[in-house]
Amino acid sequence: MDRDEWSRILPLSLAYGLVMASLYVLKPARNALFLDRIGIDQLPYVLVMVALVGGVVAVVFTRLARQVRLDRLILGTFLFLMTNLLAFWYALPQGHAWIFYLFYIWVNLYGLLATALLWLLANALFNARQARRLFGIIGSAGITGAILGGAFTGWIVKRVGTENLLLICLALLGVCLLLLYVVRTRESAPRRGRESGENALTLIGRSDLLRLLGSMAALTAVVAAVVDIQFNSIVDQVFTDKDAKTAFFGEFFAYLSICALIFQVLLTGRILRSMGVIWALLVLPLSMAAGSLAVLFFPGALLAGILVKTGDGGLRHSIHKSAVEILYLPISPEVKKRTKVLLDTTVDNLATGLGALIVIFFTTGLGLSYQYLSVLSLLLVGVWLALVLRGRSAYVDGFRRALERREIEASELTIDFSEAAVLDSLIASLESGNERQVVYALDMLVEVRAARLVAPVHALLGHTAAEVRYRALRVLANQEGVPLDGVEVLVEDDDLEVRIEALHCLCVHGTERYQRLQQALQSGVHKTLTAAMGCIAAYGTEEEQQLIDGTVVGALAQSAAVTAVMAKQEQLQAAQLLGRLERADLHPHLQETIRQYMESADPDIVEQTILSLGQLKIEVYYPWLLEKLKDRDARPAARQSLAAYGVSSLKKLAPLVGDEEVDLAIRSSIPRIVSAIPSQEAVDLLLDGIERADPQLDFAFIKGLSKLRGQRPELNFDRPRIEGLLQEVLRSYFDIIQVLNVYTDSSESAALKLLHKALSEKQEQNVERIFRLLGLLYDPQDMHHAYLGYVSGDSTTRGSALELLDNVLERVLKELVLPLLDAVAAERVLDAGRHHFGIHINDRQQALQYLLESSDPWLRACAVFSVGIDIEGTQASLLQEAQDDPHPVVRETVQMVLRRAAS
Amino acid sequence: MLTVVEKVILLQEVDIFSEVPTEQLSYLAAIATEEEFEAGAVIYQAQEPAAAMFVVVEGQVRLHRGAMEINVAGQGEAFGSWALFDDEPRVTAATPLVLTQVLRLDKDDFIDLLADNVRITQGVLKALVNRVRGLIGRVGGAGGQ
Repeated sequence: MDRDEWSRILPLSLAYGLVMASLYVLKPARNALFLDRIGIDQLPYVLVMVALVGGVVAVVFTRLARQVRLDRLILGTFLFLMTNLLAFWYALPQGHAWIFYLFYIWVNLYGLLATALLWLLANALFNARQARRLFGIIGSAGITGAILGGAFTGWIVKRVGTENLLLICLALLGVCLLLLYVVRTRESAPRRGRESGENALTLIGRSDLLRLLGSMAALTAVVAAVVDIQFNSIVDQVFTDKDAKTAFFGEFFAYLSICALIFQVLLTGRILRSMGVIWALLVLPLSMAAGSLAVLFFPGALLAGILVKTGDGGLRHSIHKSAVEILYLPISPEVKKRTKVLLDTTVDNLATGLGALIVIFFTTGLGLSYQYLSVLSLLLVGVWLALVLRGRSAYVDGFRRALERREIEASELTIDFSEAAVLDSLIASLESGNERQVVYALDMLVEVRAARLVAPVHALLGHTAAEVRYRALRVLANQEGVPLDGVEVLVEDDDLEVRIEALHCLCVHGTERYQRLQQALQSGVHKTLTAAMGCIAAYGTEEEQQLIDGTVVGALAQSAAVTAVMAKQEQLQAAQLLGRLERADLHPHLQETIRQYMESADPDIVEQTILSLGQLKIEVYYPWLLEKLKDRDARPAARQSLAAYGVSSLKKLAPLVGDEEVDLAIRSSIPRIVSAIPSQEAVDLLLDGIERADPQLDFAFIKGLSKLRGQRPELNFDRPRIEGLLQEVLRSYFDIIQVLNVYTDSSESAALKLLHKALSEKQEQNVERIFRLLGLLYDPQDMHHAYLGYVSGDSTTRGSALELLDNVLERVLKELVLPLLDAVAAERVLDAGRHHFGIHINDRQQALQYLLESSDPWLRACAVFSVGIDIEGTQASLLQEAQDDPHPVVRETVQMVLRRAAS
Repeated sequence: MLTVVEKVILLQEVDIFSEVPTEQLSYLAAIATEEEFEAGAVIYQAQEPAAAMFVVVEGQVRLHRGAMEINVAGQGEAFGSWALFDDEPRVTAATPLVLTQVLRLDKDDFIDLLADNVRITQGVLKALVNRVRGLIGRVGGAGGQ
């Protein structure tokens, strides 16, 4: 983790910890106050209200989060919540009944809003790769906060009283707000892309697995609501004093969080690995059933209450949550994205309300005591268990189908593939006969170690596809008890990668690894020699690297020298191996071989040599690689190699930017090379490039910056410089509007039509430049969507794009950009432009002068051509000057126009 | 001799270049050469390897398969365009009806230019996609009738 990440993750984690701590101070206070002043009988009603209000607020808040800048949303919401706390602190002692209902509902909303905001901020501050590394820290801070908050409540409530806990929460929120100010971002919350196709309900209805997930989520929430009411009822009976209730709730929630943490760390992984996801899913309902039985037979016993709530509070968010996440594995990321929110929040909310209604029916309607609600819970748990057991086939089928369609993104997963049912499905895929599917499954198994894998993977060593053999060897290298007979044969395989992996596998599982590699290097057999060199380059220890000495390199050079008898494939493999050798510059024989390959008549061998040189990064070959940019066929490989030189490449490329004596093919490749070296130096060089490069190339530099911004948003994109560039583009945009305004009637001639078209195209480029530069200052995704919306041609979409800019841009930029982009009539744009830049193009003479002075040769040529044959006085002098234009197309056009005018 | 700008005015009317920005058309114009053919001369024969496309600058060109006339290309119209995209032999012959001046765009030069200039590639692809969309629309319309 770098310093920049620390500076963001620390305040954010602390803030999240404080929010969770305050929540676990408020929850006991809420429960205790409600039970003390209103009574347990009203609890089901308030739960129904929580479900209704929570649903509405979630929808409103989601919309708000899409439209309002995140820093403003956080500040506004936190200040609102703090004011509410103060108001409740004042109002609760007044003792009005409605205030306790309101407080109960409010605490739920507080938990929803405050935590949602912090996760929105976390998503805005970190990209997906960082998220995977860092979000665990935020989560841990949250759990710690919950534990400390609960424990603190248990300790402090006897000293200050329940109502005054709200002032403590107020202070915690104040500190939290200060911490969030440190990491504030002006971006809007990450928004979801446009969603199309079927809605979430249709998708859920069509998938057995999603239906199972939906039914389970509903049953969990209904039983949890029943259990919650039973638990509160028991606590209400046991503790008569309000503060004692608060203290108990606080301590109980703290211990519950500790239990959840311990269970998650110590048991969840083991249960999932050894027993599988289905058994893991049974843990929560079984624990709830045990708790319900305890309440049924020992009503009023605090231990029974604790037991019944422990399942819901302790297991629901640890093992159950992990198991449910695994069930989502076979669901495609797109479908998951569109259904998970519905299943996680809406279903949960509605089912909680339903649970409360059922309790009202049984207690108020039928007059049953809370004790007998256990019977209802047990019945529901029975249905739940049946559902889980039936769900196994839905899960395995879903997984099999997802593997067939390759819908699982291994890179997005954090779960363990050795989970029993998953492993079964992957092994089944290996036997499917479908090559793509086999490769895909092997990729997923590469980190998995399981005895069951050896036989089916070993059977793939004879597969016709080298890709399969290679991956099978990679998986086997990680296993135990691998039979080596099939592996040894593959050291002589035609494919270099397979040979290398086979030798590596033998080294891992066999004995005398060092001697084996030494023998292979001395074998004199080309295939074995290259396998050994590749294996040492990829996996060799420092001692083994020493084996590649002058003799070995000489042997490789010797085989290269007999190129006439050497198959092209083998030459390619040798060229490929060169790139993997360490300190290749120290081997004189190798230099000779490299030179031979560089001069090869075969373009494929030259290309492979170029790529290998990029891996070696030897300074002496850099100029040759640069020259290869002129060769169209070799250019992509040369670009890749020059980028592989890393930051040192940037220093060599910097002087070439803007040097017109350097070949255009080289100069035009620079932005792409630089943008493939994600570093601060690359950003700075690209910014220099926009200012110094040929106008034809400046857009390529902007694109390079956009690419880096997308890949590494944490790099520093010099704001004042970018704002300066933006000013220039806006100025050009406005100038062209002025020119277009004096050429309003473009139907006069083909020449004027051409000029009009060229100007409009220039304007389109300017618009793209504006949005790309804005993407360097604000969320690039936002700006990309805004650009697409702006150029879509649809007035509503264009309006939304401008609305987004209006909300996201800072005032100064907004005042500059929006009036130019927003106006539909030219007059309005001219008014706005006059305000910022002043007007200087009022007639065609001035327009011609402006165009002839522009840096764009094509606009200059079109402007000259537009003059036609009736040349007036001022135009004539302008054309005379243009005869010396540096661009040949402009000079040619001037001569043609003057010639025609003269004749 | 046509200037680059004049060639651009001709090229922008060609269907497959309709989406290519005019500045990029100037690069195409720079590699396009002018040729003149007498009436009845052979511009290309049917079944001959296709290596270039043409735009009529002045005159008229008859496109025919033996005696059967397929089309007559007049001023500003292109013919033999598919040569730029595939290696199939010509399906028609092209014969000038009068003294005709054409702009010739060689396939090899065109491909080289595409490799270097992504905006031309984008424009050509966009025009081809528009053409395919139009065909699908027509087939869909016919299917619906």
